[in-house]
Amino acid sequence: MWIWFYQMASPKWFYQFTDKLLPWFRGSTLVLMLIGLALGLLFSPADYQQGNTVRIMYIHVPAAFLSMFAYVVMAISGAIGFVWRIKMAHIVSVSCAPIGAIFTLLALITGAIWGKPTWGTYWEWDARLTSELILFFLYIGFMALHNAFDDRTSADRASAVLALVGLVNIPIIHFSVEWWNTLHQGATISKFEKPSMDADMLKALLVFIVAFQVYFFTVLMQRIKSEIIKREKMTGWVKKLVEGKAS
Amino acid sequence: MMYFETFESFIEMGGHGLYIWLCYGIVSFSLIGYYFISAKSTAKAKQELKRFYARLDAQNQVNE
Repeated sequence: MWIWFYQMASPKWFYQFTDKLLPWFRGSTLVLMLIGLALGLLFSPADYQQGNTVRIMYIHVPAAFLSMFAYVVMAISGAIGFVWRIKMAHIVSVSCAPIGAIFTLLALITGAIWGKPTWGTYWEWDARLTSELILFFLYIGFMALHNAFDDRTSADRASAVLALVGLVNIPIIHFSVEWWNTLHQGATISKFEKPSMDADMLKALLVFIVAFQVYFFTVLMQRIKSEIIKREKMTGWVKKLVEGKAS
Repeated sequence: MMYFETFESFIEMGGHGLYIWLCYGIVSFSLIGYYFISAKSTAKAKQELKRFYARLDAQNQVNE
């Protein structure tokens, strides 16, 4: 068990590990996305209130979920790197930021487009929308702060602290629909209750959530790989890897 | 069972086609685009490092 833990912390081992995993993740992303598209666009009914616009939910909800999931991964790995000074943890943390920012932006855009036909407005300063926008600024701030330092160790440590402080926003986003009177509807799926939706709709949504999650890990690993070789450029194995391909 | 009976109704989506297709378009474009950006970043880093090692080797030769 502990050997595995030490291996995870070694950039070289991690690089080779992701190299082996990536083909599987790429393949399953493609398959799951195609199944999701078929279920979401062709094999699920329209909503009795919202009509076909309910199909936007199948990509809006996973994007919003991943925007928060990526943030939690970023903050926790940042904290691990901060406390135990593990290089690999910072690499994971830094690699999460742009992916999370994209998911946040997509959640905001699809939400706005969905809002027009259902609420009659693209944007409203309500609790859920505003806290999700703050999440986007947190990602931007994290990346800006990390780029502001010349010294990589200080950059890693400072941005890890920012990520941890911003973590307070995640429960605010999640519970905003309960704490405040908002335009945004409540949670569709809950761990504790039976889902309040049609079985075919639920299937499409769940497939898309898994698909987005697998996509997240795919691009995360691709980003981690490039981050590892940039940071480990003074080691023998990276030099061998880079120059070995040329000859 | 397929929900739409004709191809036209699939495109129109009960009058909301524009909103729905716009959402799916933006999300697909972004996710596919970022997939390739992140996939290429490793190759790009390798190219940069190749130049970096070449410079380093040249410097070492001068010093010797």
